[in-house]
Amino acid sequence: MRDPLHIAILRLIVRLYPAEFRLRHGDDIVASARASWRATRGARATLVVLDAIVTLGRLWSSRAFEATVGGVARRAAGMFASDAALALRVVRRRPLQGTAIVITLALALGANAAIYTVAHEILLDRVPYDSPERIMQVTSPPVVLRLAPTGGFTWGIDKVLTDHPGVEAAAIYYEDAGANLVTGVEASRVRITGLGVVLRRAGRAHAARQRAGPGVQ
Amino acid sequence: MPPRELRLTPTFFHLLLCLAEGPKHGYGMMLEIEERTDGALRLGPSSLYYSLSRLEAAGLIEETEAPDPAGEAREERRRYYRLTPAGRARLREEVGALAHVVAHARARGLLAPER
Repeated sequence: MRDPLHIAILRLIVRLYPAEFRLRHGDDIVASARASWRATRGARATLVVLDAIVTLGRLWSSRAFEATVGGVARRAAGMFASDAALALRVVRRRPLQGTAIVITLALALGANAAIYTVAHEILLDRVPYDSPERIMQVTSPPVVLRLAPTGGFTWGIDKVLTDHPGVEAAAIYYEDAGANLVTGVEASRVRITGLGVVLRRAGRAHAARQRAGPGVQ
Repeated sequence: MPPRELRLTPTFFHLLLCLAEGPKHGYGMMLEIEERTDGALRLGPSSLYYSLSRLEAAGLIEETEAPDPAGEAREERRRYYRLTPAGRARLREEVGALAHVVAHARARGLLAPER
C-alpha cells in the first residue's frame, strides 16, 4: 500500500535528521506515524509533519550547541576535574612533594601580587591633578606613533600638563598630523603641522601653539 | 562522566510514568499519554522518539526485549523501553514532590478532600 502524502513528507524530513538519531529511531518514527494514521484516518497529518520539522530544528541546534559552546564548556570542565583529581592523588600519595608544590605556588602567587602592588604604587601613581579622571586620553595618529611614541598618555604630555595649570589635555606632535584631544565627554580633532604642543584648557575649547611650528588648524 | 541532570518536563515525566508499570514501545506510550491527559498532551512521533533518546542519554530509561516477541508480526516489531533504577528513583522523587504540592493545595481548600 502506498503511503499517504504526509508520511512521504515525514520520510523525507527523517532523512535530514542526524545519522545517529535517524538510524536508531527513523523506522520507529515512520511506523508510529503510519499506525497513528491508520487509527485516526489521517486526522493528524499536519501535526505529524510540523512535529517532524520542529524536531529537525531541535536535533540540529542541540548538535550545533554540543559541537561549540556546550562541548567546549564540558571539555574545559572535564579537564579541570581531571586536573583537580590528579592533584588530589599526588597530594595523597606523595604528601611531601604535594606540599612542596602547594607552598611553591602560594609563594609565587604572593610574590607576584607583591611585585605588582609595589610597581603600581611607585610607577603607576595617579597623575598629580585635582581631577585626574577628567583627563581621559590623548591620542595621536599612526604617523606620529611611528616617528615618536606619543600615542596615549605619555610622560611628555604629563610634563606639559604639570607645567601648565588649568590645561586638561595636550598632544605633542612632530610633523604634519592630526590629534584627538579628549577631555571628559568633549572631544575634538585638530589638524596640526610642524613641531609643537597643542593644549586644551579647562572650560573652553582652546588650542594654542606653544612652541614654534607652522600652525594649528 | 556521569550523565547530565535532565530537567523533567511534562513530556519526560509522562513518558517515565508510562514505563512505571513495565516495558512499553514508543507508539503505546504516545497513545497512553494522550488518553491519560485527555488529549492535552499530544506527542508527534518525531518528538516522542526525540524525548525517548534524551531520557535514554540521561540514563533514565533503557531499551529492553519485547515482553512477547512471538506475538508481534515481523513488520510490526518495535523497540521497547523500560525504566532504569535511576529513572525509577527520579520518577519517585518527582511524584513525591507533586504529592507534596497536592497536599498543600488540598489543605488550602483548592482541591476536594481525599476520600
